[in-house]
Amino acid sequence: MKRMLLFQVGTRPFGIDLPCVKSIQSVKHIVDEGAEGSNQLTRVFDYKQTSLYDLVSIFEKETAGRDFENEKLIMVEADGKSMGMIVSGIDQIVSVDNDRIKPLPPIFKGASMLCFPKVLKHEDTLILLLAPEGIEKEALQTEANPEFRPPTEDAEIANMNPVIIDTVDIVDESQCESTSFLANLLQTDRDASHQANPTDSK
Amino acid sequence: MQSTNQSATTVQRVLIFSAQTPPVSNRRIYFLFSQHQMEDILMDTAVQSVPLSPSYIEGVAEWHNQVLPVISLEACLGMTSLKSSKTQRLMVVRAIKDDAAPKGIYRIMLRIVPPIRMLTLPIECSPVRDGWIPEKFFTKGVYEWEDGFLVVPDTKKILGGRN
Repeated sequence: MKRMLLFQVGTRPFGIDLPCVKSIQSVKHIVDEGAEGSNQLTRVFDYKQTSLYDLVSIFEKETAGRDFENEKLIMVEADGKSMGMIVSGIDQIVSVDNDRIKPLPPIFKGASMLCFPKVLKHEDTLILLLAPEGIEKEALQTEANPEFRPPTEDAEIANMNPVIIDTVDIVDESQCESTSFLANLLQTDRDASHQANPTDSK
Repeated sequence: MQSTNQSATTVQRVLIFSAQTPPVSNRRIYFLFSQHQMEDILMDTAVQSVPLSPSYIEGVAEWHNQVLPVISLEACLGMTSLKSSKTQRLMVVRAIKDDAAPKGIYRIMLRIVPPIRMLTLPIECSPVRDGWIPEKFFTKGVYEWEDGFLVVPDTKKILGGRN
């Protein structure tokens, strides 16, 4: 069994290992000190410089109309270091069986895998489990980027000029026989399915 | 009897459904998968988005106690996606990846808009160049057939992601 703290960022639920949570505080005094518009702050807690990460700004594209009155600061300890995370609200603490926790599929890479290596199934809902050290690593990698935007390949696509397509070239059909070529392409997938379920062929 | 069994195992069926993209050369674009790849089609499944992930990954959803990624094929191939007001489905597709984890099988979910047609190979089609697909790395081939263009996605490469 594991105990998890469930919280919200925007309208989405997230979770974090309860043992790494040190305290939950109001965020209002941080806002009063000028947190708005910045994803990463540094404050002194227990006489130590501590990094605070605004998960609402980092995860949500639209942050207009934020309710700072209800937002919370979760102080955690990760990799032996204290850090804080600003979230939209706290939901509850739950105890879950280990088999309810699954790895994030390997198609996810980079920032998303660093920050959410695991997923919890709780009451028919999938909840991403946050790894605080992932947030910090990602922040260090993108320190120079004030918007905390991970350098994904999407950025390249977004910058591409639109391509207007008006013609499609026909391939020299002497090089490949069309329908048999298509069948060969799919052969690999067929083999895959047989390995996935050997009873198919019986 | 033996010949019947033989023909039953050699028949290869494919699933074809329309891509939610603008036409190319006034012809519609369709995606094509082997029937063997398709494991399930789901009507109502909640998709949980994953922050900081590429935009072609819509999020994750649960299927048979597994967490699967939900992919937009149109976005994955870099094609313009049209928003459809029609009822959508999630299709569970399987593929093998070389450095595979449990049993070497990975699955993804694809957002699709019915109808889905099932055809038996061979079908009349001709290979065409794929230069009009921005992310052609993720395709196995593109063909012209009577109803438009058929794009055969490479699920193994899609599973590997963009490196």
